[in-house]
Amino acid sequence: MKSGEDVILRVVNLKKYFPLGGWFFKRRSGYVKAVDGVDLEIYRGETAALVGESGCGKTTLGRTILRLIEPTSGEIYFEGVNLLKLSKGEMRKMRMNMQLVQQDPQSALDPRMTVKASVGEPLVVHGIARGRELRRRVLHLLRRVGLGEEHMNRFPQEFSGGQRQRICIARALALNPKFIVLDEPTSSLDVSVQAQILNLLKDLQRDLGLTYLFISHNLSVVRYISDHVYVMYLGNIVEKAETREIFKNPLHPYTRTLFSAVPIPDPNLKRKRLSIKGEVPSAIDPPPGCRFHPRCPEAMEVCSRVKPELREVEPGHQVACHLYR
Amino acid sequence: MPEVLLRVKNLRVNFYTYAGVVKALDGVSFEIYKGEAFGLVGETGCGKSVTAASILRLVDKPGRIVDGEIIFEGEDLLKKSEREMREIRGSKIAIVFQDPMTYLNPVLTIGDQIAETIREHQDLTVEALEIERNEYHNTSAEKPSKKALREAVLRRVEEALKMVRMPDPRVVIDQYPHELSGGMRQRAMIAMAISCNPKFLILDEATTFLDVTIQRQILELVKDLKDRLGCTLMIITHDMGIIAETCDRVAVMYAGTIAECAETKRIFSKPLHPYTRGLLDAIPLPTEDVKVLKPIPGFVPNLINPPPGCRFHPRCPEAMEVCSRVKPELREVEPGHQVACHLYG
Repeated sequence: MKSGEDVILRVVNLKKYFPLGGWFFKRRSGYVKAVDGVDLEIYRGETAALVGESGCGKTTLGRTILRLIEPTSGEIYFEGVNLLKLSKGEMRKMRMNMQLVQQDPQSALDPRMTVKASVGEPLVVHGIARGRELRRRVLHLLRRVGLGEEHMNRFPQEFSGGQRQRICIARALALNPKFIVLDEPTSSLDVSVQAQILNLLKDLQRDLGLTYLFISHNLSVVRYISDHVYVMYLGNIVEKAETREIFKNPLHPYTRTLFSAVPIPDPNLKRKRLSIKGEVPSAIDPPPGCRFHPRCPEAMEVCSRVKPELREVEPGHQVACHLYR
Repeated sequence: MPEVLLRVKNLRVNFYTYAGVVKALDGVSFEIYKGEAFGLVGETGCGKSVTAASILRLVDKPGRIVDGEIIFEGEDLLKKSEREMREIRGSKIAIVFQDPMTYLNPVLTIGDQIAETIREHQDLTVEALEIERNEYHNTSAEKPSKKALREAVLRRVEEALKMVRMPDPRVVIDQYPHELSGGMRQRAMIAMAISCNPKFLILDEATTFLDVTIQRQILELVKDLKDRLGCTLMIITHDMGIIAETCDRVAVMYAGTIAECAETKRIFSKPLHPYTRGLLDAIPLPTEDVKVLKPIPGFVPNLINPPPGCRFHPRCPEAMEVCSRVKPELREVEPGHQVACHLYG
């Protein structure tokens, strides 16, 4: 196991509640508890995956870690520095170390800016390079992601989805970050192109020593790219383990149903299906106790009363469920 | 030999855009047998959805079906009049699309929308008369009253919603699309599609927008409906996993052509076309640990100016000289296994 010093990012009891209503005369009618007490530890040089279904708060968590959304409460330590104690200017400097690649490269790129301007923008903003030096750096970045000089002066709409995602990755790399949040980077791409991008991300990680937080709903992709997996359900982390371990031995009933729901491209495989009833409840008024209990096939009486804590049941394998105590 | 329900022969569809003529389908041929689940798989822009739209004759301007035959139950759908097609759509061939929110009318209740399909295609006089006699005790009635007719339609709507295992069908009938979740909306779409007992049901990426656990529920539902209604399915998807789990036979499409067509098990165990092989190598598996993904180099070609010869040759690792000149025909290389590639010439 890695020692505590290897932790590059530590998140403690992070919460983000979005107020509902509360506009002008209207009374505040409640909160969307998008992230509700999340703890994370990400080790240097690894890929931590955050998986969950739509609306579970995974994107909000990713953005809150970068302080693109201000959290309601909690602590975020990046290399030992509490990000929430930093001033705006200090945070801006800090963000040179932490970058974001978003799901939809189409909307992440300004259609009126050339590739050179988009990729070079972070360097200009932080006053790192200009003129010929900027051009040299941008070209270097583009080559890094498999594009070339001929792409420099083109506009985003002239590229395919995969190439656009490469441009976004080049831009994220511009400031030599240590940590990148990848928010569903391949979910809008076709499988043949998805494989190209996944391999590119792996190569970059190896060559540049990057740390990734990989947000995804695609478990096949997660298994391929990640070292640790966090499973999120309605604003809570319900299970955390090494990738191998969690796929071999999923403990939480939600993780088990989620994993068994994935269609597997092997017609000869016969699996036991764990069907799940109902749908994800609203995060505005989440169920009391364990948030999964209304859909859980193994729910007990205690589940509707007491919220289970995330606790280690096997070395490195944490689960928040009353079944394991 | 199984009975053929639908035969598509040499289908060509062009889209006449300002940028040029997009040859979206370039001679697509396949057969679907009665009672099977047939898969159509391929990447974005390969022509899967255009194929479905052509079968229903729903290709709109600037698109046009320029050549080919679509034989359904022995008759060529492309020779039918628009009126005859209206009769067929919804009653014999039904379709469920990817995004239910775009296809459901936001200002009509779910019940009204399903009822519309039933009223359009089904004659419910007999059922309505029965209601008139048994429940309204109007034994002398020759023709059912409007009230009885409405009641008959309503019962059929409820039946359809029960078929798709919609929780609380009575409540959902009076709800509007925005009040339902994505999974429920898709259930409503399926209820609408099966409300007239179609012989042939097309699912065009019907679960792509849904979360995996909901997708699982819908897939189980579709399999179950196929058995109960005995209809033939065409499942269009980009997900090889869905194909493996639901389809008996599958056609792999690439850039407006069929690259390979065979039984599902065969496609996975012995893929012949280099594109099919590339596609299977590029998918990460949730069941396997370390597998190096081999992406297919390059990207899908522009169909305004597609590569000459085999449309896959610029990306093909096994391309030969002939591939850039001659378009390979889809031919049977082993019983029931067709492939369009010069490697098997």
